[in-house]
Amino acid sequence: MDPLDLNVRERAERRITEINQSIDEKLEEIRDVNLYEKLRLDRLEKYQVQEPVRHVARRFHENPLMVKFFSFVDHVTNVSRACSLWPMQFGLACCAIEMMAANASRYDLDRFGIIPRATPRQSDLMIVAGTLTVKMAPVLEQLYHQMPEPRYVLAMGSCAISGGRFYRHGYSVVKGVERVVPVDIYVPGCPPRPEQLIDGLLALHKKMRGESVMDPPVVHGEKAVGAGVHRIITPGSPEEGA
Amino acid sequence: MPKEIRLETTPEQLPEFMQALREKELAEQHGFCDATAVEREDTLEIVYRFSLIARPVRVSVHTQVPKAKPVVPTLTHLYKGLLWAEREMAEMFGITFTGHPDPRHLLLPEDWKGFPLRKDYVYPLDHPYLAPDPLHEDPMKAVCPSDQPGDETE
Repeated sequence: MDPLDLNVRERAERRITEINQSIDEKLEEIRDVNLYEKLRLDRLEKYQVQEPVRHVARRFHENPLMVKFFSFVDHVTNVSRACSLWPMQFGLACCAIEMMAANASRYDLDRFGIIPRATPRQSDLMIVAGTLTVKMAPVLEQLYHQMPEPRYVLAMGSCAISGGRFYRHGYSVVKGVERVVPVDIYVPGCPPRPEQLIDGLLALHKKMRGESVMDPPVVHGEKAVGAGVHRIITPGSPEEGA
Repeated sequence: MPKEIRLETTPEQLPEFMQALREKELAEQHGFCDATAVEREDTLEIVYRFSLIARPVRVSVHTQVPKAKPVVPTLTHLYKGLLWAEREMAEMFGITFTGHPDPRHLLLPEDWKGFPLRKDYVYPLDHPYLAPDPLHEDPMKAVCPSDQPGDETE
């Protein structure tokens, strides 16, 4: 598709309504649970993306020439971002072994431009691979805030998604990374194989390519609103091309 | 199979008992293996395990403290390896080791409440990170139907 032909304004409006609808749906579900309402509002306030270019770009919704120009800007920036996605190493448990295998020569994430970095300041993506404990949670949150925007989080494995097998008896395990930071992609498995991790990363590529500076400021991990509603993006699902 | 030797003593006599054991009975080269606690009916049983180097013998020393007042004198002056083991027992079972040089938590956060490995431990249902999912009607049933809190017998 030619990026210059995209009707960006229409798409932005559609996205606003979609976000509002989904938030309203989730609010219906969790209305009685004040704790989760509070968590959601905290997240909306905390993780609102502050990108000046968005505020500039949104002034030109009416100008078709500028809309075309910003569509081109979107295409360039999105492709650049998606093709040099540098994840931060956040191996917490056995999922880290599969993450290492995916980075090694057999699966070779380098061919997607994915090179692991050892510092949050150089990374775009945090792959939370493993069991997150209550003692580790503040560290994860701090490292997330040290990453430059736009930043993404991939929850790898059952423990990172929901606590997994520690859901019932794990007295110290956080029941899902989404309770600490917003999550963009969930990769299920215990642990997931490197192919599944690569699939999740490609789904993240598609998500990144759909973003636009003409959109309103987005809340990363908006899909995580209403903790526990896991939307797992797999090939063929309607959300894949989101 | 190594030979197992089980010894029992009271908490009051524990330091003297272990001192004598170390100097007379276990005078040959031996190593401290592990120390842990077991929850019984109304007592907590503390187990210290040792193994000899030269012979296939394992020695375990058991002592019982009441659950209501679990206080034991520390043995860290005899075995340095107990420094962390006693800290872990203290945070997991709520046992107080008098005279421990560093009575902080070992694994749990400093502000943790309760003793997780006790059978009457109540899960923190109001903790934002630890509370079960509110969208499950009954999270405990949804996860493990046969594992109700009342059925947790050994």
